[in-house]
Amino acid sequence: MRLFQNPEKLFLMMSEFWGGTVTALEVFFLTLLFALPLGLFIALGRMSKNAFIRQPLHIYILLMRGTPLLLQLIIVFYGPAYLFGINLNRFFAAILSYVLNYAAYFAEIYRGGILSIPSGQYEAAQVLGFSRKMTFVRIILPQVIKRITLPMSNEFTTLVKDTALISTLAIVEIFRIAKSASSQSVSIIPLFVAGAIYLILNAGVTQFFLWFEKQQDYYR
Amino acid sequence: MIIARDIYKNFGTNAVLKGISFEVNIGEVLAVIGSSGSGKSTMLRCLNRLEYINSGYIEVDNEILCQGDPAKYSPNSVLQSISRNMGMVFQQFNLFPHFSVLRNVTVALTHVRKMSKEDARETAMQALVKTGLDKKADEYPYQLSGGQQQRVAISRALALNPRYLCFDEPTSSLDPELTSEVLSVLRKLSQEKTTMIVVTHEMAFAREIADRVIFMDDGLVAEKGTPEDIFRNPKNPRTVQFLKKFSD
Repeated sequence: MRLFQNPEKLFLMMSEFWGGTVTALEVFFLTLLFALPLGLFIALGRMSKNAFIRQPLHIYILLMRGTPLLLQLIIVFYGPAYLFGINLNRFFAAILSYVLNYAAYFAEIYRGGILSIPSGQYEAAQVLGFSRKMTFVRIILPQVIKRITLPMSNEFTTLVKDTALISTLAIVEIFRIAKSASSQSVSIIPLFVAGAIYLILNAGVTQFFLWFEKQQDYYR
Repeated sequence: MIIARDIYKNFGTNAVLKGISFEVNIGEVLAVIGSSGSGKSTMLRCLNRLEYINSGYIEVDNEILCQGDPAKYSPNSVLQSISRNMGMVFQQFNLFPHFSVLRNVTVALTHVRKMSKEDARETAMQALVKTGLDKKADEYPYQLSGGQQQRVAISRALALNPRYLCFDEPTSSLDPELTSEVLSVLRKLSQEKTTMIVVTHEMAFAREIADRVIFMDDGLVAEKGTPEDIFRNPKNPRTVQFLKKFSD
């Protein structure tokens, strides 16, 4: 409890946590910004009739889902450095890894959603004279978004917790701060604080999805 | 006028249409009857390019849809001009669940026919009045009964003012009560001289409204003629056998 007897130290820890939280949010939003659209294109390519598009994406998804994100972070950052002497910016390498990894998961969720739309929707659109692109954008995608909302909420909450992995690239984030504060002050409290931060962030994510589901409640 | 000659269509090794020929005249109601798997729906779907035929000749209003063996389809501009004149109503309605009733009917008017919102709305409301669903314009498909949903689907097709309206078993997923409300819409359309091709299992209805009837059996047109010919004096033994099941 020494931590609480020293307000200065406590304040310092809290401001560090604040910085870590901002970093986590940056990783979270940047990953979503790029991985959500990328995943959609991967899903469409994964369903292509052309095997030269489909097969590489199949292998890509297998690699991304089949190996630990932790390992991918290390390879993306240290790989170019060892092989070509290129030093990537740590934060850039981190975002790149998250985007590549999450896009693979998103792609499979999109694909599941797209495949769940009955073929009659495509047929009705075709008979009405819709182009293929218009059919997808106006008819299919809105229904897909409704159907994938729940599996997506799983991925979003996992992403919040996965931001902890960037400490591997020596980027300061919530969990790393908690660990060092905990060992310095010989207290378990900072770890609880870290847990509480993740929990609060995910409570926000959950609230967002409750709202988002409600937005789409007007039809079945 | 639609002219179809020697249409062959197979799914893999399964031959579904084995050389069928028929024509559809403007202003008439053509009923297509026959047992399940006889190729009725496939025939209709080939007219709407939901399926592509393997060989044969199809012409719509002097424009060639496809010809030859293997069938060669005309350039896209011709196909699109033909499609503009073809409407289709499905067994499963296939309404867009995320659109209101009105939007289901206007969406093709605004986005394909490039009509203004106001014009599209007016055209759509007229089409909904025809099927008696103008009061449901702001509801969503899930809030409607099956019969009402099918009537919206008919309005959606009507709004585009096609020259030919195709119905693929429009009442097969409805109970008898809902069937009759959809059939009365079709009856009304036939009185207005809408050209219709109706694939149906409703024999009494086919007999009542059709100008001509085609009986299909195992991928072939087994018999065609007026309702009187087919229902009263069927010549083909298969027709006799098929109709007997309905009179029992």
